[in-house]
Amino acid sequence: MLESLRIEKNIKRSKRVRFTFNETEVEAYLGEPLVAALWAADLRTLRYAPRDEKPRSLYCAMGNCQECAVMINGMKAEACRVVVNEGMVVTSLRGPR
Amino acid sequence: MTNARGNQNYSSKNTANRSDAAANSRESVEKFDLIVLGAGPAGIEAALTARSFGMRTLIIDEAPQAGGQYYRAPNLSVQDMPSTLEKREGDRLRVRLAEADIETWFNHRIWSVEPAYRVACATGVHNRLAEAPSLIIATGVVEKVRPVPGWTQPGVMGLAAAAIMVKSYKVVPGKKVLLAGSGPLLYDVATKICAAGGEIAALVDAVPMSTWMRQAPRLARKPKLLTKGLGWMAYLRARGVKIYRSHALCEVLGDGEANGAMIRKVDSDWYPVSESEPIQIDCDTVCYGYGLQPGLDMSRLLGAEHVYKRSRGGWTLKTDRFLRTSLRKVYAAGDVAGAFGIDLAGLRGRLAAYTAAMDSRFIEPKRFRLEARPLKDSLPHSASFGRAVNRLSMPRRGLVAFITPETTICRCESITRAKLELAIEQGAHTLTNLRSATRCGMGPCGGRYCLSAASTIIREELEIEFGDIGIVKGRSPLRPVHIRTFTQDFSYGDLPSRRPPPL
Repeated sequence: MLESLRIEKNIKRSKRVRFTFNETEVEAYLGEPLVAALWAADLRTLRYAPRDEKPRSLYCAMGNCQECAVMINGMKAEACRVVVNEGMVVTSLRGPR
Repeated sequence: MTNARGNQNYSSKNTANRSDAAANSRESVEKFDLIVLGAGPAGIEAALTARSFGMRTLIIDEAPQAGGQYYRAPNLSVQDMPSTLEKREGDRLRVRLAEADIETWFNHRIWSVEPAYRVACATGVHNRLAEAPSLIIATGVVEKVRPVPGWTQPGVMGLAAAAIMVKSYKVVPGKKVLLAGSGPLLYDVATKICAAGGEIAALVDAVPMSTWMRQAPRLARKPKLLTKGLGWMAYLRARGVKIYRSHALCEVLGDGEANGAMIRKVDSDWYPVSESEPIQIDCDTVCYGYGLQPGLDMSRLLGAEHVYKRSRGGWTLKTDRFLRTSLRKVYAAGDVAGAFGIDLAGLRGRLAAYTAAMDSRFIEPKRFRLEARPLKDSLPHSASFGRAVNRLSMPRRGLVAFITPETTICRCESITRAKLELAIEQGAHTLTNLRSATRCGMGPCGGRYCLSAASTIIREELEIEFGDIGIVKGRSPLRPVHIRTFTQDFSYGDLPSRRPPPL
């Protein structure tokens, strides 16, 4: 079994950065898709649906489904379409929109 | 970001028609001879061909780099990686596009397309407009999704998402992954996960061996692709991956996040076999999907004609043999005119560009006859592989039996099967009626991930065919767009205040 979900074999990545997700500190690589960094850190519940408040997460990974939407520095964005930056502040959407 | 409703609220008061991007835009409009919507393999070839005829060409895509989903580039944090054929081919396409004198708008999300033809894109919080007399739609495909109980939990995703995670994110989808559904993508993704060192709990293919065999002669017309597919199967067998044929995913277990799944034997129509017991699979991630269907956002918004064809992957953009749609000077390139796959994408991109160039007199009819007709003539034969794949992976009726009344069908609006059934009972017999009655498909995803499943509920309840159930008209904005894209720095305090009228 893999030690981490990140594929390491023969892959060279950019420099490490840190950001926070719901106040948890997460290590990632500069330019990595936010959702990939969260997934690799085993942070899979990204938001709670507006109507039934059930946990939701990445579903399509290509900007279609809107299931991975989060708040980044106060703006709503899909975690699959945003790349990680040093010091980014990411929080979950919760409840009615 | 705001959805269709939110946008209307802002628009209704001060401006006559703010949803019409043309009416009151402060931005300048950039003009071209041709705009290509989508920079996948078909769109890139279309743009390159059109440019070679002297058309001033713009190509737009919401991804940061060209390539579409098949040739999706590794994410920006990857500085070096082992070379693969897909990567080399994708890089070659990207280089050719970069070297051509073609305007490229990446990271631009198209939110509206208006007749004759104006395209509005959001990039960051900026709105950008382009105009051209001709359009080539090259928006590719979306995955066919069928709900099961528990499928909205984190840890459940489409097969296409799993493919993107491995090839672009360079992250495996889970520690122990269950793959389920139908079609070649199932084996492709399984192989990619295995090769990356991931563990596969099981591969669950709803298609019985007999159906695979029935399509074999057509599949054999593309020996290279068939060999590739057989190679995946052999590789997975050699790695000891447990493969269940004639089985389907029937439930995702978990208390908030996926932590297991139930599968069940299905018959030739994919109904559960009554004497079979569900089998529990130990896994932490479930990736499943039932083949691909054309992505019709743009063409539905423009009001083009569509037609339902199983062999093309379902609802598809209606075109003539030269890829003209029902709309003047709008052409379809690649999978949007029938999901025939990567093998034909480039060819259909070039053909669409030839037709566009001839209709706008950038090339002579003589040259068109000489060069474009052979392209057109080669299509039917080459498409037989794609047709066979579509017939094979097309989700059969029986999957509807796994959708319990409490199962969420519309993720955005959390609408259950029971709620849809009630509306159908009350007279919502078309997809358009069902959308109006329940808001199914009105959420931020625009119905991409619920409407085809909702159609199966109507079909089951009323025993009518997809052609009669129909599809829905598109609505702008096609994707959520941040309100600041339109207001820019204008804030509430900037509203001109009037002195109250004298009492």
